[in-house]
Amino acid sequence: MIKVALIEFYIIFLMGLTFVLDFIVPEKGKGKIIGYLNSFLLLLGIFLFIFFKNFVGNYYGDFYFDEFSYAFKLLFFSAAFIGILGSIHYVENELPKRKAEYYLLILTSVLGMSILVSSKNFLLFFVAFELMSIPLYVLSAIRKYDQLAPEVGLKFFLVGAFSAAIMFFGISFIYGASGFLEFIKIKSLLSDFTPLFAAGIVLLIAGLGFKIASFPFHSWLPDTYHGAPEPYVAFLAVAPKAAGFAAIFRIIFEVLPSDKSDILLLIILLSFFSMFIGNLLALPQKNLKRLLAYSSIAHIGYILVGVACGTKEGFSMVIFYLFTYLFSNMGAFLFVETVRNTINKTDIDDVKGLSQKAPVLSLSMLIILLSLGGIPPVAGFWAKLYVFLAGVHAGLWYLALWGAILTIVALFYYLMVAKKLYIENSDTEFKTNMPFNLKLSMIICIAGILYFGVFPRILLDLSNWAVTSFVP
Amino acid sequence: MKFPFLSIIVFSPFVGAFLMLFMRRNPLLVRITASIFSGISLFFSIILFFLYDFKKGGFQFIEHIPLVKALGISYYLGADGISLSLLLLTGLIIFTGTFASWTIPFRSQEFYILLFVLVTGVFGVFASLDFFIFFLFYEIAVLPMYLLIGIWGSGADLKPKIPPNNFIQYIMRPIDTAMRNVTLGTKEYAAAKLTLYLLLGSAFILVGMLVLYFQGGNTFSYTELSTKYYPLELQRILFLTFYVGFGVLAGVFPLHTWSPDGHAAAPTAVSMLHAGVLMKLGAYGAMRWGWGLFPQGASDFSFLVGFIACINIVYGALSAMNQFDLKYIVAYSSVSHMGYVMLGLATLHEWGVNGAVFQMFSHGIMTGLLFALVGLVYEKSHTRDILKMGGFGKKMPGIATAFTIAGLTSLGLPGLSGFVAEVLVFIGAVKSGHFPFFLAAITGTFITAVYVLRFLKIIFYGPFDEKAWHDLSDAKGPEWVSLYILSFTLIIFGMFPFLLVKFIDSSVIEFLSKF
Repeated sequence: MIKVALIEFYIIFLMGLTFVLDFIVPEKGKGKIIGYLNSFLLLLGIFLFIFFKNFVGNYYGDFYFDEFSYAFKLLFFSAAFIGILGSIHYVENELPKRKAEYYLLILTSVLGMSILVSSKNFLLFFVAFELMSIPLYVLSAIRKYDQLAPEVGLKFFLVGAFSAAIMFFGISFIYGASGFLEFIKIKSLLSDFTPLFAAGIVLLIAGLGFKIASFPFHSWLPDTYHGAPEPYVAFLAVAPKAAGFAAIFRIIFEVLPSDKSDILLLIILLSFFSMFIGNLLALPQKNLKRLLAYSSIAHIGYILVGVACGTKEGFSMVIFYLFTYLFSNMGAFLFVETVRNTINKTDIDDVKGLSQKAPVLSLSMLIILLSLGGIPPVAGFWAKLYVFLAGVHAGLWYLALWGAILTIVALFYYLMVAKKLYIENSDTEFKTNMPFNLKLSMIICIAGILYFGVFPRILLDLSNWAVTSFVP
Repeated sequence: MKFPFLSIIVFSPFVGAFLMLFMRRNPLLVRITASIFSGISLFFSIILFFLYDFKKGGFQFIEHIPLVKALGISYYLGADGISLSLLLLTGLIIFTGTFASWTIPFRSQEFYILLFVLVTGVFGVFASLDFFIFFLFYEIAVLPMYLLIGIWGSGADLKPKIPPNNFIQYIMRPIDTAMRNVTLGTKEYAAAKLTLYLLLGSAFILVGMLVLYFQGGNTFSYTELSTKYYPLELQRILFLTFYVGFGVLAGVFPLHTWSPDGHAAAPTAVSMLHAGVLMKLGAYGAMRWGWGLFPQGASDFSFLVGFIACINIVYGALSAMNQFDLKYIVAYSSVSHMGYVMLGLATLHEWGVNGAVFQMFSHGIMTGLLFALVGLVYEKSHTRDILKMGGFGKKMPGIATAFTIAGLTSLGLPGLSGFVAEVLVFIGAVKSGHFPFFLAAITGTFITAVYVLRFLKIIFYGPFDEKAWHDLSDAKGPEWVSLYILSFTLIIFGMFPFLLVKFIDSSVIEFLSKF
């Protein structure tokens, strides 16, 4: 048990540490001390992952630590590391109280995610899912003094609760159809779809669709991104979605019977419309955060191309995509946070002519935009290429073509931001206010984008290795 | 280990761009670095002509390093006669372009960096034999264009005149209007339009490439892909995909509308590169991957391709005749001239394909020269409206001479390289039995003669208004470099076409052996 769940215990240890430190550390500087300590320990955890590789095993067949969950846990750790590092100045300066809680809640959410990707029992699955979600609701409303915060928190919470209810409903259907909650038993028992079982799966995927914010469950996302604290949004935009994808993988490979073309058709539709809606609605946006929110709906569509393949190859490409998405999307939100931190505004017009005043920051944003748009030679290009490659290989060339064409629409709004940065001029004063921790996390993101853009091999090997345990 | 000629040609501009990063305070040093590193590329691309064994033919100077083994991607460079001539073209244009933009007024360091990154992409495209690397370079060649045009471009006061009865314009009008509204001015509009059109093309190429990858046995290598047999249906689909995808960049009607706007808005060196070299990227890509891999698909569609090429020739020439903005005239004329390239390819005949490649080279040099001259005239007179000009020949005899040489090449005067190319294409068209196309193309030449002679007359001859143009001067200093080199090239290859044709022909015979 200890061995298998060592990563979870590590997070629990961090949580306990944070909790204790909350009493010891004086109020002034608390955010900084706990934040740096946590991010350091998370970084240490990422290095320790090299040793964790050997602890593969399971606990009573419900909790599996396999290659797949390993890759995802690494992803969550990285997201939490960059997220916490990027929000230290925010916690220190803008949260009058509850400084330690901020970190505690993020860690709790990471714990939930990390259990979620390991669970092969629907009860554990659901509990982990809620453990992941509830801290996120609290965090998105943590900016209490902001007018938007209650609205955002409530909206996110209601949608989240609704999705959980739908999922639970679906799980009960599955239980009714098979009589079991363990994934393995369900798979071995049901050789094809009964109507009840199919309904359960569809409800389950709908519930997860809320979490990953694919069309038509996307409506909460722009508002939440708009109202929630920016460094937290960087975390929110990546980690819970990755967890949702991991859950979908588990269900497709380990619950569904071998003929799963009907469910995959559903995912093809989700992907098709997510790309379309996300890209089109991003066009008229005036606010950077909303633009990124809609673009991330589009990204979900691209990732779903890989899921819709239903093949191992497709899934490994998705893991690759999620890793590059981690760097580029978090980087984008860190950029927004820098802008907000400086001029307290986040409209696209506010970054006019930034390249003259803050050349390095603008260059980083340009790299991030290229990565989001999928332009070589940065990491985002490989991600898109691999996903489309898998799609074409699985016979979904029309979906790949659709995605490739919509990428052009996406480039239109990414280029709009680039245009504001580089081509337009403005006279307003902009003196970059970028605290050390923000700089550090931005550097990590850019380094990741560039490194994996030039050497995608390591990540590709990792994601190929992660899906080895699946039986197609 | 052989000497890596091609890598040096490809990456020398990139090294230059990298070095320029550290020269923020010294614009002159930036320019000197630029000329040195583009000079290296040019030098080696000339050297390769002496080293290429054209009796043996095929791809030479091969460099092959596997990059991603699991996916069959490798760094695979090689050049045959066709790519050699285009490498030489690129070398000439960037070297002269460096001098043509000597007087760029602001942010010159960034300008040269972006320009040289772009050129790295262009060289890479012409030298790579691995589809994946090809695509990488292709994208690198397209993107810096956005910033180059957006920042340093010129917004025209004149709107381009749209020829009557242009149904495409009617269909595209809502999109056009929307884009004009979103973007600020002419140059931003042109930059966005160009980038989006070209990336739409690359979306087609990307998907076609992925389909090809799986059909061709999980490899991107040209030499391997070209030995495989593809079923007819697939050949047709993929040929069309590549034709459309690369056709956008080659300015094929009706996807050409980005090019006049883009050319007109771009700064001088970028226009030179763009009309001179980038449009050839499209034609070259279509030739290499569309015609080269899918001979049957290509011959099935050769009538369609030829037909559209004829529309290009005549329509482009008519549009050029209708313009009063000097840059738009040249821009539309290059749409017209790219039609000869596509027509030459469509003939699938030794003469025609030779003519197509020769036209790529000759048009590249000619358009480069024309845009350099247009840039000079604009810089000195501060207008692009030809109706305001007149009698400039008195004050700028050098520019007038060079302009006349380029214009005469454009209309196909014997003794200049344009003539050789056009004649080869015409003979190819007749010999392959496309007589109607021959007639259409001849009409195009006639119209070209009309507008070229007309604008030469308007600008350089006739009455001279001493009051308005008293501060006009001839080209000076570094500006001469591009005029000399490019005019000289036009004459050399017009007088002695065999210098180039013997290389091209050795590769074209091999290229056509599959049909």
